[in-house]
Amino acid sequence: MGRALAVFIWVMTLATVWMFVDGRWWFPESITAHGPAYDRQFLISIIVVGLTFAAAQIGLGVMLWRYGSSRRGGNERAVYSHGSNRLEVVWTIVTAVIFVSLGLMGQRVWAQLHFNNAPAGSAQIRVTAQQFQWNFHYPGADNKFGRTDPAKIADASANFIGLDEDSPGAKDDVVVPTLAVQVDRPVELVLSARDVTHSIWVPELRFKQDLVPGLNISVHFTPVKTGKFELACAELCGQLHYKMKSYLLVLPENEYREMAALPPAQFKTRMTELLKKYPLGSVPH
Amino acid sequence: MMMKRAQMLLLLLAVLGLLTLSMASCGGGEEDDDLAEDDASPAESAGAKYTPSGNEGTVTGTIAFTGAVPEPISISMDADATCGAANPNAVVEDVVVKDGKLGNVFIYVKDGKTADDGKNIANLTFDVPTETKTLDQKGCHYTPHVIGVMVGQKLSVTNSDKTSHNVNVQAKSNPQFNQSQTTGAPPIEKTFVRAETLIPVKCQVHPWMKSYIGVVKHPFHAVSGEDGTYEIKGLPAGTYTLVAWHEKLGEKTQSVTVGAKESKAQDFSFGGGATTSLQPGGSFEMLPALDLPMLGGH
Repeated sequence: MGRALAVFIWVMTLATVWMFVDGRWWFPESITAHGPAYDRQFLISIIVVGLTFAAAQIGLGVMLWRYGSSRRGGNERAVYSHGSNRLEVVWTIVTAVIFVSLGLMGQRVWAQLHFNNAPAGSAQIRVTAQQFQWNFHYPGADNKFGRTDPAKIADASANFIGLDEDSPGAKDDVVVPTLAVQVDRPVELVLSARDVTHSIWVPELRFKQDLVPGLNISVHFTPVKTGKFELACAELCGQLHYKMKSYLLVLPENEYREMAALPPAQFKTRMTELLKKYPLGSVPH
Repeated sequence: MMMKRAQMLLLLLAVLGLLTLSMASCGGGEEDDDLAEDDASPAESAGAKYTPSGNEGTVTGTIAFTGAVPEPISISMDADATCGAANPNAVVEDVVVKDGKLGNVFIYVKDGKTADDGKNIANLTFDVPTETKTLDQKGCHYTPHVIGVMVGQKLSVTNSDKTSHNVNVQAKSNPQFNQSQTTGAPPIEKTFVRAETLIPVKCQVHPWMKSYIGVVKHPFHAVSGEDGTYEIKGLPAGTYTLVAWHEKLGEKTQSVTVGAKESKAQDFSFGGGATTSLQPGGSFEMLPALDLPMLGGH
């Protein structure tokens, strides 16, 4: 019985490792400048963890094979061991070194996006999440955002972010439920939430960030592939959380600039057209 | 001895069972909405039943809009492609003006006395219309935008869209309900037990969707059409306070005297300027958001 269990553990270990090595269930393609670094970091982590996992499971199988009880007899009898302090210290230190090193390596990639300011010339888009809709606020042709005031929020008037229409720079501002950005140009998102905590997630962006009520959280990235990608809320935000989804559109420069210069009504129509034009996934540009 | 103990045990169990049952039934009684107590039987609280004499009058009128007509604001429905396909030219309906006339105004008799016997109309009871009013969700907006029902009249909420909606009826004096309605789901049928003007209805899935239900104790209410006109029929002769309510432009009140079989014209006028907003966006009170410097602040 012990040997059967050992074989079962080895088979399960092999199958698990195969699921990762095969690549069939790997991440979707990366579409940002920081994506490859992020993926490399993940790969290193998964190799280290995978090797440790495989070694531990194979070891467990060996022990079962040697010491597992059997009616037929012939197995060695296990003996009690109090353990080895030296061994404990060694593997604790080795584990600590490996994990702290992985953390330090990963921190570099993460900090570039979250701790540093967005590069000069980044396009800025303000994101206001609400139950259960994404609102992306574009500054319009003048590149200036109008003032927003929570007292002016009126969903029935389609003023989801409380934009003060009379404030300077507000007239050409556009608020739509789709995130459109320009390829090869850094984008800065300023994230806020109207009600509860939400989380913006586009798997292809290798990027997930919470939006917290009362905070303006600034993040940035540079998309390098055009196309249409699903955008979801990744924080359970209420009964209809599953309905809180949208798209990220990465557009070629000419298409983006042309749309960004349009007055609000045409901007919205153009966005709808572009959403229909692009199939899901990346397209060469 | 054993028999006696078993009998005692059975007796004890029976008493306990009875106690539990009586407590449960008391609890159930409490849960039966106290809301139902007052107005479920309007005849008791409102007094005498009105019998039509055939001499009732009519109030008609037009709601004018005098301000600058707001630019139509288009609604981007890209987040739900089904909505966008069904209603590609959707615009907000908070102020609907056509040729200087204002639609979606709820007009109702607030109070007043009949000419015959000087009875307060609020103390009379009227037959509840058997007609079921329908609030439909079509093209991801509510049709009609404003709807009037009488206390006890049936309201049916239907979903004609190929997407799910969530009907959130935010009543204050009536029981609230907040119910999902998938495509093809049966209508949600409700009645209201108390007069309430007006109850906001919103869809949790599509935040732009908004509607209002006016619940009145009597059948003397109407909603102005696209051409700004309204008609209230069957009103006993008397002098009444007539209220015109608009979701964004506030409330106007006028006194109207209707004679027997008379058709009285009573117009209202709303300006586009600063009036009391009955639908304040300011249900939100937020402190200014903090910029987190450590997260690449500005």
